[in-house]
Amino acid sequence: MSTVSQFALLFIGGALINNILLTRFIGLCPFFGVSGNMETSMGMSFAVVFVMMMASTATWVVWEFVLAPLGVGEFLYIPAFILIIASLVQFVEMYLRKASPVLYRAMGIFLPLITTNCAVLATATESAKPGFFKLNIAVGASLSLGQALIYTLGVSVGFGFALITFAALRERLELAGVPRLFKGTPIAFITAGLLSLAYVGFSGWFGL
Amino acid sequence: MAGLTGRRVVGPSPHIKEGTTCTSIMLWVVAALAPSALWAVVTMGWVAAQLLIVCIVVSLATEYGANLLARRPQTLTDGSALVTGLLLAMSLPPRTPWWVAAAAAIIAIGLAKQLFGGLGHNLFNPALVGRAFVAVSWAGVLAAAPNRGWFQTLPDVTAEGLDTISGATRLAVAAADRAASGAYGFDLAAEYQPLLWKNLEGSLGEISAALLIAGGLLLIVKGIIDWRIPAGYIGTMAIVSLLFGADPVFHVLAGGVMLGAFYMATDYVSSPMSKSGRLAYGIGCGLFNAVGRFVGAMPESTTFAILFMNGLAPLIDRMSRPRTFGWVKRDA
Repeated sequence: MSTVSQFALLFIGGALINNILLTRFIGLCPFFGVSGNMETSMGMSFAVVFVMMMASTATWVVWEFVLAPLGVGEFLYIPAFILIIASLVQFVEMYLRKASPVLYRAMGIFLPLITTNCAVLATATESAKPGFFKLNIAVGASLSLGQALIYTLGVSVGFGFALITFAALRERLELAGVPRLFKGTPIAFITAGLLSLAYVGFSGWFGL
Repeated sequence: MAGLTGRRVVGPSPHIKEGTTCTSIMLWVVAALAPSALWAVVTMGWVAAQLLIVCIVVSLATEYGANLLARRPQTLTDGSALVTGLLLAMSLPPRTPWWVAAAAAIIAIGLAKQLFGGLGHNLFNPALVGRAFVAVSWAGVLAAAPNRGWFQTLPDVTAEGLDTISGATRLAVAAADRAASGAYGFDLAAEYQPLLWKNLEGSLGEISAALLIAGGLLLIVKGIIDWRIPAGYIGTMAIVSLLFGADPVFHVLAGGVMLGAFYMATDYVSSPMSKSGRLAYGIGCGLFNAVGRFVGAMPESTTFAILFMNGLAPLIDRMSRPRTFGWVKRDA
């Protein structure tokens, strides 16, 4: 398989076919938490792309040069990854507040919310730790840094796409005559289920 | 809402009242679908009639019960539940067990429509939600449909001198052929005539592409559906099939494309409102349907392609919102 088609498969596989929200049901708290409003979901989407890319890079480097050579990765990877991601994101947030107020206002407030998010940790672990990447693509024993970044980009773009789609749907629900029992979060759960049903159509694309 | 698709100039009063109502639109859709449904009953026999009856009766009953529970005024007379039941039956294979068809109708009306607030609020096409729900929940039952259920005990349609009812549709055979050798083991061009006039494989709605097209054109001429959605859908289907090196005519005629493009995707509530948005929506439906056929695990993906685009419709509406005259965007 050529590199280009492999990268394309990594991206589509992460974004659509194995959508982290609607196919794998990871990271659902921000999915329901911020999707009530279009602007916050857009800010959250950018923040997720940003954080996931940083987290995957950091965990990949740490696994490759610290955890694996020392032979402690097998039992230390979860605390190590959480610590790295959380502290890195906090530092970046502080830096953003100082250096780029515009960027900070756009997504800064979401950064602390997703530092310890399961979707971020899952994607970073899949990218960094051998044996966790489950897509049916021949990538050898583990992902290279380039593959990991393309895959992470696919996952995070898929996250943002699903979140923004869902926010637009919920916006329309505001005016619908939903029975009082189902108003708010219950109907949001049902909508998410139906959206997830639509994503079933992607299952098995390209044999992934 | 049909009038909204055409050119409309609103002047000062007095206004002339047009006779278009929700009920009349729904009845036109039923009229456009009726020839296909009748032809399915004539050629497939009593099994098709039973599926139609189960779907329509359960849809109407669910609508009635849901309105009763929610203490809302009854809406049976607007005809929308009738259209949903009819479309649902047309999207299912004739020998679907009755309880699967009934479950699909309950999900379609109860979950996809009434829970969202009834007609005008369903985010997803109710008939497609019902179909997708049973297709995912009872995939094995549907695949084995010819040998199951109480339809089996009824006089077999083959006894009426028709050809055999085969389990796999042409699309499934085509997909298997592609997977095995990359080429087709049968003459695609020879399938045009059966697909156009009398096709006993697959769902009720695959019986005759010609009748569905005729009904769809009638709805377009009457101004009930917008030509942009079926045109974008079918055009994209043909182009993508060509890109995959397949026969575009066969791929447009086979499967659920005609039913989906003219009757499912054009649902007012779950499709975008703007003209450019509708074209984009139709193209999206065609794209995901065609690509799903060639790279997906399932031989056909009309249902999921349209459901996916239903989900995108509010987003498309947001992006194709017309600009307000007299205002300019403030510089950021």
